[in-house]
Amino acid sequence: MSNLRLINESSGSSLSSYSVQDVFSSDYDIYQIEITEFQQTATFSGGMRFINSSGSVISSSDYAWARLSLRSYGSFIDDKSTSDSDIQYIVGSATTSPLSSTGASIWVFNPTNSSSYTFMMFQNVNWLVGSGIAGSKAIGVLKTTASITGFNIYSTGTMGSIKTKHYGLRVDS
Amino acid sequence: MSYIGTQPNNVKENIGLYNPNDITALTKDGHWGGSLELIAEQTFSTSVANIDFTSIQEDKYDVHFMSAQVKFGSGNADLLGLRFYESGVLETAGVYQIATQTGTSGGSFGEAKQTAYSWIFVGESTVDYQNVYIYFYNLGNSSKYSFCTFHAQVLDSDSFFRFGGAVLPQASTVDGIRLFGGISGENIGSAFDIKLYGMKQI
Repeated sequence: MSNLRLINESSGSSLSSYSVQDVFSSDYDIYQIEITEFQQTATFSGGMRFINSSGSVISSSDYAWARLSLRSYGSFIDDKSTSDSDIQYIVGSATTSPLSSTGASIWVFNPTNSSSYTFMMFQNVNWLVGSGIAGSKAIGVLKTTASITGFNIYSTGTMGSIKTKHYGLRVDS
Repeated sequence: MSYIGTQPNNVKENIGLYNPNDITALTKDGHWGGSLELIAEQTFSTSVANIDFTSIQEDKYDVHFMSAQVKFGSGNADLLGLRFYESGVLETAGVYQIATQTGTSGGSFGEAKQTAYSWIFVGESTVDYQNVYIYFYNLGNSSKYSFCTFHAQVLDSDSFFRFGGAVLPQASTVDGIRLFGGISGENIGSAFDIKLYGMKQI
């Protein structure tokens, strides 16, 4: 039996902000999030923010992230920020891709540990109509010690639909 | 709950105290057992050119996870590539798109990408073991393209990595995965252990 534990699933449609609350807890230290559905009906490049234990989305400039963008049709790109209001490029692209969806895996470390920052890393691959694939391999951190219990994916664009699955890595205490 | 005392956290871990009602409820919520569910494992101690996984339960899982440990054989480089079966037919045309980053402990880094390739290159070795993990997304969804992301760690002349992603940009049902040694007939390796899992979903 594997030590990965399905916690729950969530989905949404026709929205620009997608929140999943009460998924991180003291039960686990490490979490895995799979994005298995992402219909892009308008330009959308989604960033990730965390939600604190009061249910508030943290939008302060306390995020740092770095990624390598891998593209089948062009040169690769380095992106980074040491002070941002979200962790960028979780999903999406600059062109609409209603048929193709995406594939993404995200790992989150120590979200509820109030003596540690919340770290994360992710990898994804997205389809850009007329171009090809663009994916990311990335790292990020929320530089506060707030207890984090959920996450948010948002953009100024609109998602056609999104679906995520949330897992915890079992710990024996 | 038949257990008298401190309520066990059955979602967090199996402490061995369950009755049939507990099991039924936990199974319904997807909390019974581990969430990385083994679909198939193939092990070999001789060189082969192809390994097929043809019962991948694509109708049950949106996400598949594969781990591969491959020991180098002899001769030319042992490659590790992927192709997909669409409704039982192996796709061998130049339709795959790939974008990968490579790097070595010797300090060499590079990009490798293709927009119309006949297979997905994941790993390669000329010296020792290569260890690979791959995530597959939406293989069984006939209305979506089939994506994968992967990371290979290899002990070659230097320590070597390759990570990236690929897509079969065709809305089709992928019901099989072929691992193979490349279009020139290379072998995958002299010994290997490859496991395919489904990521549990409700």
